[in-house]
Amino acid sequence: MFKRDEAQSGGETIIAQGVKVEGDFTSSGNVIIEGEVSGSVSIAGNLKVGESARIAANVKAQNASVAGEISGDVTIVEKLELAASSKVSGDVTTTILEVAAGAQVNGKVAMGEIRNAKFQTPDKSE
Amino acid sequence: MYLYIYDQSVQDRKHERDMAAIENRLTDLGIAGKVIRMALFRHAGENIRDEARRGASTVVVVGNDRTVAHVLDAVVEADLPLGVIPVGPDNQFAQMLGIPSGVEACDVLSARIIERVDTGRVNGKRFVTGVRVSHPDAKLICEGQYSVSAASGGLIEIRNFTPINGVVEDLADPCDGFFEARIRVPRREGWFKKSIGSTTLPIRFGTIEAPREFDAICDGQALRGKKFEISIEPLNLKVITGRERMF
Repeated sequence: MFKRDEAQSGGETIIAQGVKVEGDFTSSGNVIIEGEVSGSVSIAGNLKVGESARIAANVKAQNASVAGEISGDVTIVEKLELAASSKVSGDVTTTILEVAAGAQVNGKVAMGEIRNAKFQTPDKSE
Repeated sequence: MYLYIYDQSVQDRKHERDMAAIENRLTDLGIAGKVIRMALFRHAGENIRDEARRGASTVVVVGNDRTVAHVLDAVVEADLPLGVIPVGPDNQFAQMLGIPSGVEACDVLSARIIERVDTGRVNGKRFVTGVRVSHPDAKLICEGQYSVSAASGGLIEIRNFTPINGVVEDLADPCDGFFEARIRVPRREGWFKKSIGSTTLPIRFGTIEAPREFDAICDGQALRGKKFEISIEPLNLKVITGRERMF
């Protein structure tokens, strides 16, 4: 879903390790999170949660690849990938789920097509 | 008609030869015009407004970034294209526009490739390149929705144009109606190795604040305060650019 060179190109929103975001974080493009986020996360594009990331928020995105920690409900419209290092404490709703051995999910998992997912996003088109 | 604003520094004897070459080249190219020489206590803004009313078609700064900052308000208000002939040091803006130093800039000016770019305001003051803050307690509040802070102190940059040492694939686009907010944080990788982690966010407006007063560097000038409100003015400035421009 995510390639390294894609992540490094311009136009991406990146929250690096050592940075803390508090509040309602929204984006209309792709987002990479390696730092700390608390509040809520709503992303119309793809989300990558790095191994060092700590998210205490409800998360909504189109696609997501998670290697870090999320404390909150996760709603992914298309595909959610959980890496071996990932920890999710909250309910997961998605259409396609891929779970690596070692991934932790503490919450309910609901699967099926998600309709009417609403993202709060700024106007910028990527 | 071209209106040339000469910075006080270019009137120095050491630039005499360069200035003579520039003036000759402008005459050869048929784009010589009226010259206004900046001086202490003389504000070029009034002159630009007067000359715009008399039909000036282009304002050209002969000097450096500081000269551009002096005329920016008047040029934007008159909606005239801004050209730069960089003379002397501190000419990052001209470099970003792809304008070479000295006499070679005259040919770029003559080619007249005009682009519209965004400008910004910080606490009401207009700027074109960006705002930079290095303070351990500073945090950036993005569009009133969320705040971003560095865990162990970092550099907050609100970029409109790319800094000179920015790598090519790392361009901030000054024509997209958004600033690129960057928070750079040093991080340790192993015992001896340190690298810089960079957070990148597109924003239209935001506030940088800290509990105590701090400095913000804006277009090369230092501003001091506890709170800096920053907003974008989309495609507000017409600039003459060279082929080597960085956006």
